[in-house]
Amino acid sequence: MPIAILADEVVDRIAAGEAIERPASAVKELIENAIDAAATAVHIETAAGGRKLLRVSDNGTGIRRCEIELAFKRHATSKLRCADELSAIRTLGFRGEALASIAAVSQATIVTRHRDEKMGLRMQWDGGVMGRQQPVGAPAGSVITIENLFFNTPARLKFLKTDNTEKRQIYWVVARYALAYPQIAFALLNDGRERFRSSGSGQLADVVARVFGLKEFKHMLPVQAAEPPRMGRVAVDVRGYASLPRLHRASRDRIIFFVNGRAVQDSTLTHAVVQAYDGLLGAGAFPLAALMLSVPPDFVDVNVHPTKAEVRFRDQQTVFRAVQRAVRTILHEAAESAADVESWAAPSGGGTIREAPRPAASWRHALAEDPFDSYPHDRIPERAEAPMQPRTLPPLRVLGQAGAAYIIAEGPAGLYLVDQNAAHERLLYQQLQRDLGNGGLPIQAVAESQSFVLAPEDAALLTDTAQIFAQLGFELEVFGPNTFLARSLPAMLCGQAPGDVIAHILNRLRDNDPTVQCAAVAMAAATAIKRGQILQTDEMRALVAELERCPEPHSAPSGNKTLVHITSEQLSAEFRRS
Amino acid sequence: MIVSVLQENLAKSLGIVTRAIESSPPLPVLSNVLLETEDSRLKLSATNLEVSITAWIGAKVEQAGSITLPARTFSELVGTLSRERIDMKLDASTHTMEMRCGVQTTNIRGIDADEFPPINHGPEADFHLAGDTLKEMINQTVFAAATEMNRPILTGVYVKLEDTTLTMAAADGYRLAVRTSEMANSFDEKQDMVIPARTMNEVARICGDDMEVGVCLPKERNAITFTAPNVVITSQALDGRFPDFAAIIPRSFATTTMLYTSDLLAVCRRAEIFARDNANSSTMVVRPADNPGEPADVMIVGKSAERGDTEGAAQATAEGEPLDISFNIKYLIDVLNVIKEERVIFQSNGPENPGVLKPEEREDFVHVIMPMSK
Repeated sequence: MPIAILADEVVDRIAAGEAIERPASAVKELIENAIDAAATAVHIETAAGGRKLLRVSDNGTGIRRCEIELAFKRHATSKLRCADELSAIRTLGFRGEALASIAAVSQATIVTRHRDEKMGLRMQWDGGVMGRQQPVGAPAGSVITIENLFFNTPARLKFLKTDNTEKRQIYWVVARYALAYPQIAFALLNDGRERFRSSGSGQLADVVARVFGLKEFKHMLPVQAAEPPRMGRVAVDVRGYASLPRLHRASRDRIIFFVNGRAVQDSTLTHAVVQAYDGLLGAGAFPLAALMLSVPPDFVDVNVHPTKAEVRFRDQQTVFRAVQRAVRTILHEAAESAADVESWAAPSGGGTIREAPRPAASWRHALAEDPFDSYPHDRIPERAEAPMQPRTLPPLRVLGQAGAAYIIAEGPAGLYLVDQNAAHERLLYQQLQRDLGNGGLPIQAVAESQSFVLAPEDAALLTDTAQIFAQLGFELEVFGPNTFLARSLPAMLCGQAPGDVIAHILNRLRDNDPTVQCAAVAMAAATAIKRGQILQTDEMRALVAELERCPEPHSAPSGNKTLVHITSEQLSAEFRRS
Repeated sequence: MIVSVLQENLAKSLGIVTRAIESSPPLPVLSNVLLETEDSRLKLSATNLEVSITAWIGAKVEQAGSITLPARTFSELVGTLSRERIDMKLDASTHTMEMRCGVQTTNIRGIDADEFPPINHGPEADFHLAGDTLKEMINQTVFAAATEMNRPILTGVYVKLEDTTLTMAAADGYRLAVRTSEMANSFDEKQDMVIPARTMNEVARICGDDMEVGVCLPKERNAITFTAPNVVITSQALDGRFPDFAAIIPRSFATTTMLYTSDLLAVCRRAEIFARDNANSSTMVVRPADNPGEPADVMIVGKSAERGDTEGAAQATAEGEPLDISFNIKYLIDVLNVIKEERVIFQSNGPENPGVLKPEEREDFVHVIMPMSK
């Protein structure tokens, strides 16, 4: 075949493939247009996961009649004039591809009226071919209806996922923009049913509660950190919400970022958030967050990808640090005021297990009315010496152990199951933190030094990280190739094989930044009470009593959940009692 | 099997043999006690396959026989019976033992004696020891044995016979207790073994003041047997080599302190109340007096970051360098608990060196504790 320039409609379809890969991307482009058109309400309607119908209505400025044909031409935009402006983009769109791309692969209808004009216009496109145009009466703004998306690109159609997957994708596009623009009222209808609505009140909290759920929102904290501009540094403003460590998910997909109002996916930024939770969440547990970053437009390059989902920062490190610090700060504050944040009191709505009513006062009771008896016994502290830390859990009464792994305890608002391993791990970690802060861990010298052999790879890592181990109280000596002697050990290790614990710590150091913190997490995990160990009642009591005053009692530093709360309501429901 | 015994005797020997029984034995029959008639005695045995204990009590045997009875039911019942004669009659076809004692008639169902593993106690004793000496030797060492299984050999007590000296030692990696004693017999060829601490505890329990305990040393089956009057305990020895501990015991010291045992113990107990929060780490401060013969300042300090601290002075005399040394205070309490002498000697070479405790004027008991630091 001789070389030839492609026909326009072929070019259009190829280009459409880049920007519009699924219904959600069409929704994204149309929402961006609506936002750029200064809309205050955006209404999205879909049918069959967007395959049959996509309609985005806005109350923005609308398009002038004379410009409408142009709007559907490739690289036609009102947002950019010359290449220099690219570096200082303040609008969401700028490539001038969206409408043209969508129109090329669907049957599109636009009804629009510019604010300054009296008459609106309806215009139809069929697979990129302009159809009828007629004047209509319409409110200011645009209504773009896309039918049969990808009807002329069967390959693309075939690659679409199930309706539900596409619906979810669309939902997240809408949710993201709702988060980024709390002042705009979004509504999403799937097959005639309302799926999402934001009030447009301008309060981010409103939208976060809508998107993540009210229950989850209660466990999220506002992030607000403006990085003061310093010499040669760019001001990075981070706002939004991040979850308390007790609220987490098995994936990173609820860590959402916006850079200058644009939803972006950036693994570095996600990592910055995950890192901020280091020691609070562990493997396989990720926080929830919605963070809005504001940076000067010339600091960020959004023109990296047709869908603009990726951005490039001029200085990745600055942004990384700003995000990490902002999240870290609120987590620290939260841990300090844990007692205030944690509402462990009985949930409103009468969820308490009430004390069994005293037997009706008989005459004998009346006679025996002793002033000492009426003294409220609960005023006597439950332990002769309560430590100084504030309570973070209600007083729990240990009932027993289940499966040699869980402590069963009862509190004022139901039943608690405590994972003995995770709980002990949390307490040991807290102890380690305290000791490290107080000038070091108690170290126990070893009488007859025990040698241990490590894998060559571990041995090399141990040599590199010797400083960290020394801080934790390990006094180690090289004894031979890959063989070490332990002269002193952290006292909390007492009775455990040092080689095993060290190997465990090395394992974690290898996969993470080798810091003392990280080693402390691993050491707590390696020395904690194991699952399968049968505990005495007083051991369980001591463990639970300490957990009650632990600043972060809900999760182990490695991320495992420490306790499950079964509310009185849940129990009643389970037994069909009301 | 028709046999009569006194409740008192039966209850006492059940209390001894049932200690060999594990809480959840691998075979059902191992939670039972084996009863056999032997001449005019009733023989009771229990085992966990590692330790076996047998006891004999006087009995009137009308008809010989054997049976195993569930230890828990049997001893619980016997313990509550009145102090009278118990008449027992076995119905061999149903393995049911009928017991009559005073007003009480009881039937206990058992398991056939043939299902009980054979119990092989060692033959003739190789040497004998006074019961009270053996008991003291065990009590002064066994507490230092490791309870964690990460080095199984340290969960035992090391026993060595060389010439006329018997040595027992136990260590858990952080402390070491060594006790020696002279024997009547002489062993020209050194013999050593490691006996589970659990066995040693049982042996100490059966040792009385006016008795001789015979010891049959491990031979081909690697089991040691202790024979007291009417009780025999046989236990497997542990496999492995006990670490060489001689090098750990220092020979010369920079600081030597003499203290009163009960006084020091009291001060340590007070320090422990606060040291709990700090991995039990307590500091001993020794300030020798300027002139010999004058009392020295010795303090034990226990600190908790949250709850406070305490400082107690112990009566002492000291020689040598001033010393500030930290220990796991529990280790110190453990050893002071087993020293009967009025005074103890504490010696060390500085805060990073072990502390050594021994009863005053005795060279046969040495305890070494490794220091702690921050």
